[in-house]
Amino acid sequence: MAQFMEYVKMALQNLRSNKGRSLLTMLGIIIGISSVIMIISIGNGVKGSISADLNKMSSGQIGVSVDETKKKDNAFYFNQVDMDTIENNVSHVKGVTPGSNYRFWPTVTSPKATNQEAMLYVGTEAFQYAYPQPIMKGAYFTKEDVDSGAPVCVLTEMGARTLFGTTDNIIGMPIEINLWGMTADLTVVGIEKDSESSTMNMMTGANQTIMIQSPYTMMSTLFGWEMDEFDSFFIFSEAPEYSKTISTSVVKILEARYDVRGEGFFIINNSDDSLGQILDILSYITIFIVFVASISLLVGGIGVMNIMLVSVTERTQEIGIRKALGAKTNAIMTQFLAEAAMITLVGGIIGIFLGVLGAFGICSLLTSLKVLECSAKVTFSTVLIASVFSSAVGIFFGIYPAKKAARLSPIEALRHE
Amino acid sequence: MEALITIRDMCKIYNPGENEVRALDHINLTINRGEYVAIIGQSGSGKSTLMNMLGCLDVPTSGDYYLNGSDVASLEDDELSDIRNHEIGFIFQGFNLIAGLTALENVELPLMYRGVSKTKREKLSIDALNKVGLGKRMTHKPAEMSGGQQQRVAIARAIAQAPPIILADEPTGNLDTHSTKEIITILKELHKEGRTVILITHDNEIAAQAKRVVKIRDGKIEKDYSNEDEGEEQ
Repeated sequence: MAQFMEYVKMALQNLRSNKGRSLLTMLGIIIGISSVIMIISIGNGVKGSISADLNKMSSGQIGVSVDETKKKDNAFYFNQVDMDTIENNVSHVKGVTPGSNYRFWPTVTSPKATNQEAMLYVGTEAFQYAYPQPIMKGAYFTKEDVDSGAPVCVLTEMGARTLFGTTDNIIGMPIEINLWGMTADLTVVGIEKDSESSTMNMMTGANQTIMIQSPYTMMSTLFGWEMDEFDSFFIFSEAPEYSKTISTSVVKILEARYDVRGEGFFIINNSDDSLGQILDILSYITIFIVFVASISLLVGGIGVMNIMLVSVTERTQEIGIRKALGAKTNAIMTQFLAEAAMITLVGGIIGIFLGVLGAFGICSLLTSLKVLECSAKVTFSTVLIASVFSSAVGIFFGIYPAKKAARLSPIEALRHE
Repeated sequence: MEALITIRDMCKIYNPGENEVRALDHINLTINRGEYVAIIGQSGSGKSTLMNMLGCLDVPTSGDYYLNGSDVASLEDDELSDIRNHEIGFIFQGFNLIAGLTALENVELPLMYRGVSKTKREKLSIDALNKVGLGKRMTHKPAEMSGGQQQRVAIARAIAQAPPIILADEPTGNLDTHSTKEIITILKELHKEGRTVILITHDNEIAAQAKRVVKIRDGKIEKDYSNEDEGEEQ
């Protein structure tokens, strides 16, 4: 062991005496290790923040639709009765709202704005669970509003500011909606807080335009758009753990109602499964980029091997002297292996440092530019794996040159000038 | 006197086959403990091959070699390394110091390979450097020293571990007259202290300093005489 430390010391000494060359050789390792660490840490951070956002947003949502390929002649759509039946008969259901893409792009006129572009979401009162945000003023519209097709709406804080310049004293105020050439007034009944989650804003568009939420029945009373059949609907469960039992009961009820038992008519889309899928995709992307980054590490390793081979040739005489003085094959081998390992270890340490720094830098840049909220997650295992891997690269690529050095015959090596 | 080196019927053949070269041709040689022997010969005479054999840097094609009582003619590489480390102190024509190391570190090398602890190693090396008069140059690198000084570092390296044999291969070949004298004086002193010194050279004048001269020609021992005898003959 004492001998081993001597070799390590010797290796460091030799690296110091060839500073420029050692540094250039290390560069490959530094780039490889730092990019691997950076990508894993940023990937973990992004995954963490997206999963937290999506969880908050859509945990416990169950989408129900009909398998288009099985529809054939017994074509049907869901209606309010289906939704009510489920809401009244299945336990742990918070609410049900008609399914996908019920949004419209009207223009809005208010005391502060004229013909402002907006996005109008319609649904039942359960739509408040779709992108849940706390209500800061007033209240969300109610089941009664939905049943009567009341001309009411909920704004976001930002929408309210755009339309009224304030969030104070605007409950009960009308805004003028212009859709398809028709005009109607909606009364503001509530204001939701803005979301700080960029993922959520990206999905709702609430940070791009004015977001308005209204009862879907209002569409027929005000604009003559009869909405009584839906190709899908969403169920909001009280907690994600009820999703499974709710799904089973819902399928049973629907199959009985439409007399299609056991035919697999209904497609149940559990949001937690979709969340898992999204996270899986992110993991695959991370793994793929890490794989690409490891190629640079491989190239770096070959660089180490190359420089070690040059070093062996340059130092043939030194090897001869050492052997003549009593160095055994293992001693020479260890010396050169230690040198290769040192290059990669030092390179690895610098790489880890730069990688961690880079990860935090890029994440805070992304956050400050509001592209994506993420805080880099540097885990001990990431760093450990990276440093073990970099040393392994050094030792692996050092073996061939070291063997070459150790096998030199002392007379041949001494004769070498 | 006790025999330190016994060589019997040693042959070394390069390129066996049609163009074979018999570098050593049935050599028989005995060197006793405490002798001061010069091996002389022209280049190509086989003296370098003999030096490689004596120094356990190479193995003979046939024949026996007993060094300090053990048979070393058929040892493996690593066993030869051990023998070299324990039995032989080398002094080369080209000094063969490692350029990146200081004088002290160079002297420490054989001790390090022997596994001597750092403190003990340093003490032995400093003693050896003092002995060759380089106590003040311990931290100098070879490039910062003259040829004579470098060769003295090499001598310190050879004697620090106190091996039974000092094997000097043309130690003054690259040196000026003044340094040559210094080195020869040191070798004589080492002999006086009781060490066995084997000096390989092509220079008759230097060989004349030794007590015994072995003359090699065409891979055979042509003459083996003590200088006193030679003196009487003339």
